[in-house]
Amino acid sequence: MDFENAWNVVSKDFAIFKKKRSIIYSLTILPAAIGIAFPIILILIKNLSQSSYVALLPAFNALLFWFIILAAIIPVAVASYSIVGEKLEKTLEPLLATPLTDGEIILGKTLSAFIPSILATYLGAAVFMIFSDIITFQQLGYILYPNWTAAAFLLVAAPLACIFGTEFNMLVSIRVNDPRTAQNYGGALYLPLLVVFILGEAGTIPLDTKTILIFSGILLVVAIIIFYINKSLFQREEIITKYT
Amino acid sequence: MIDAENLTKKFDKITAVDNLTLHISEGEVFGFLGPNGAGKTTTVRMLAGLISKTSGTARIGEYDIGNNKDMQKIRRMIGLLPENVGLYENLSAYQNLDYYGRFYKISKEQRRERIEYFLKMLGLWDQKDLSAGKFSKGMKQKLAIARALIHDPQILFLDEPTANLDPEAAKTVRDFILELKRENRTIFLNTHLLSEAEKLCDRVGIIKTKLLAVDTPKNLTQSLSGIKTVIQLETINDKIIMAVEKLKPGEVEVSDNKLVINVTDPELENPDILKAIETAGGRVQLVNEVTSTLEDVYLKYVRGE
Repeated sequence: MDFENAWNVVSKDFAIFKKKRSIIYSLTILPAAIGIAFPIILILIKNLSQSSYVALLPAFNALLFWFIILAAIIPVAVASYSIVGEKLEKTLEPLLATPLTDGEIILGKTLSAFIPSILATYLGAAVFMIFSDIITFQQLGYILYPNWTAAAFLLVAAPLACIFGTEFNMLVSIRVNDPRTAQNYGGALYLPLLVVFILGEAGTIPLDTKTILIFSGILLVVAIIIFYINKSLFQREEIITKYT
Repeated sequence: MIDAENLTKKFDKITAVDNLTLHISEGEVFGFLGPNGAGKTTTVRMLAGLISKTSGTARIGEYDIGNNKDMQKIRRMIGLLPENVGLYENLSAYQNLDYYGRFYKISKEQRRERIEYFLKMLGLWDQKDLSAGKFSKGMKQKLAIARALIHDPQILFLDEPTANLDPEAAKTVRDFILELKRENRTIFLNTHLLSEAEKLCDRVGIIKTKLLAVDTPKNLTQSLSGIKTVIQLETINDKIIMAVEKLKPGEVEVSDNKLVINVTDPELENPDILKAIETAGGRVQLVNEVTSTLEDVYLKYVRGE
């Protein structure tokens, strides 16, 4: 595996994103909006006493879990189009005639979707934490973030969820030939993450640091498995004969 | 440089290429002619390592098609212009070439030099920063050829390089291929334009799943019906016809005031024929040499005539 080749794929995709700014806007708008909306919702809950705010503190972390879900959902647009796009634009045949290997293509495409998606997630999470800190500082006299739970959520679980989301969407992208189909299938992956959130809210599982780390470990294993599945599904011959 | 022996490709039960045996020498421009679906693109894809072979062997230089380790080396030796140019339409001409150049570990400076050289040669340098999506078909085709050459490959596979181009753009591309020929590159040219093959290729192969014929365009045309000498006379009569038939029994056709005579060596035979006509009282107005065209040969093989 030549990482320079994989990074070359990433640079090319970033150059395209730079020219098609709408891709960047579509990636950032949802996390930024959620980052602002969640604290505002809490502010709108009027007439809360100080003790009520203390009681609300777990809700902040629960809302922070949404950024793990977002990290998995944001790559849908980019990752699901990654291979389908090259198929549609007929750019795969000349690319496959270069010394680039399948693994380098998959890695490059994974990073092209992962990097902007995780940055967009962090943007939203940063907005959320700043607004949350303003509220808790005003009401309780201290700031809530950063803390270890947030670190586990954002530095461990969110990137892994993002890789998982990217790999899953790439798997779909390799198998289908229409970006709309790819996005519809890709969007379905938010369901298992939502189940974890609901189980956490229902008290079935605690949404604490330990649970998040276990959950992250599962995501990591699944993401690695999907990466290798993607590599094996990336059949040059099938792509060349069916899609070029 | 390119050797194939009984190279076969099957897609399920359909045989796309059947027992292709071929040798192409270094510096040769080889034209592959055949109707749509004849196996031209499949052959190029097999030789370029894009698809696997079902059976047989093929070598590019000293490397085996189908051997994974060799394939990486083969990919560095070859340049491919596919039928669909497949450019990144949102990237500029320069960016498209630079992207591909980086896969071959060409230094930034060298990439810049080569990109400038090819874009200037193909008349695209002034549009280097323009998105490829804004290019005309001809410009895209030229840019895709430059992309295939960015790493200075020894072997070039060109799949229908002038298809869908207007005559002027097609001529630019053909002239560029001739320039590449002068650089002693080995070129495998898929085309269904017979005039193009005749102008550019040292040898041509006619394929319709099986390789039906392979030779120089001249030999192929001569092999069909040899060379004909057409002599236009002021008037024609039996005495003249008999005089010529005496020299070339069974090889003379008469049409209006013309004699069409099959010859094998016109330079040797024509003076005797003309002398015989004049002795018989004939007055020659015009002498022409006619050979079969590549189109005649192509149609003969493809239609199985």
